[in-house]
Amino acid sequence: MKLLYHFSTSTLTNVYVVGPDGGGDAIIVDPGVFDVTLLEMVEHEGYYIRSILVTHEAKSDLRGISTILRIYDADIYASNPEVFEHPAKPVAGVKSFSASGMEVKPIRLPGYWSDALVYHVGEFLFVGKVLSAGMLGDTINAYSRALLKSDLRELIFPLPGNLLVLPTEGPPSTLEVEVLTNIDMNRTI
Amino acid sequence: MFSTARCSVSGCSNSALSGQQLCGLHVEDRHASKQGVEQILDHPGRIFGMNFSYLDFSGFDLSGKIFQNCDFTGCSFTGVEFREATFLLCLFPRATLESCNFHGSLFQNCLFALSSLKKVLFTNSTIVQANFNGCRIDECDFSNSDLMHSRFIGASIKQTLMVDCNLKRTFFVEAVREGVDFKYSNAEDAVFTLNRSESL
Repeated sequence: MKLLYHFSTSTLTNVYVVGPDGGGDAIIVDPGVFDVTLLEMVEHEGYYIRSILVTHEAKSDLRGISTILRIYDADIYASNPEVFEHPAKPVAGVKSFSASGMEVKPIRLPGYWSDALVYHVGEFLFVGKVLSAGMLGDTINAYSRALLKSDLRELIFPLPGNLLVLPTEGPPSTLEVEVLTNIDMNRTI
Repeated sequence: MFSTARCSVSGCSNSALSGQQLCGLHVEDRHASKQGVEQILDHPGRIFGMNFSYLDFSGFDLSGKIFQNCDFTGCSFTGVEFREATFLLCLFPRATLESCNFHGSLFQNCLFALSSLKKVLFTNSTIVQANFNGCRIDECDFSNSDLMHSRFIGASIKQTLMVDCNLKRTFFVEAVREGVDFKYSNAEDAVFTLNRSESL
């Protein structure tokens, strides 16, 4: 399994692509952009974007979807059956599913947002904006924050510490690093 | 990225070193020169997806090398030359770096969290979206570098130069800073406290 990432200087967000060694069907996560640089990266690896994982329906994080769907015949996976008028496969309630030949485990975190999902793929944890290297994502109120922290303690932090935490915004981390250094998790509110 | 083969020692959950059956903690000699690493490092192009975890690279000259998706977890680096090297999504958590020289290097989306850095030169470097959270940083020099979107949350930073750096959205929240020099840097664009807008 190979991980590619693209840091967009226009949106200041990360886009991740996961695929098999040697090319083939691949997954893209939260494509905030799909520009020439990213297209060339995908094509250079011999990847075909077959699956799009959406962690949360936020327009700024998904602007690349329309472009991708013009180039590739890809399925969208999200909490809801529709993502900005594109049909999607709802996966919030399933334990795991197969996308581009890889096992994906979705984890619902409604404390962040009602449709928020974290995806566990191999040794990677695609967390969207739920976590961001030492901090939590912005929530709508303190109650949501408390709920999110509770969800993280119960559903995410018990996972293996060496999982690589890959956020939409900010640098990468590991679950062990987040458990030890996340300042929001150690605050009362 | 990253090696998924596990160390063959019973009960060990670490990834095996690239091309080996054991992890860096279970090999007889942790020095990288004893583990065939030089052959990998001699590669003229990009070094991709290698697992070097827990090895000791002390004394190596890795100047100008390009590393992508490489895992240096828990590695030791003493007196290592990394001038004008490139690191793309490389992992250095819990590493120990002392008297190393990264002058003119490029780091993008790299992880140094929980590492110890002493007398390390990062001058004239581009260090974008690096994670230094929880690091212990002593007598290091980041001067004339771009630290945009990097994070030093909860780090201990002492007697360290950050002169003439770009600190746009560089996070120092809950960092202990003693003798840190931000002269000529845009410290006003850095983040020192978190202001949550939400209410109860």
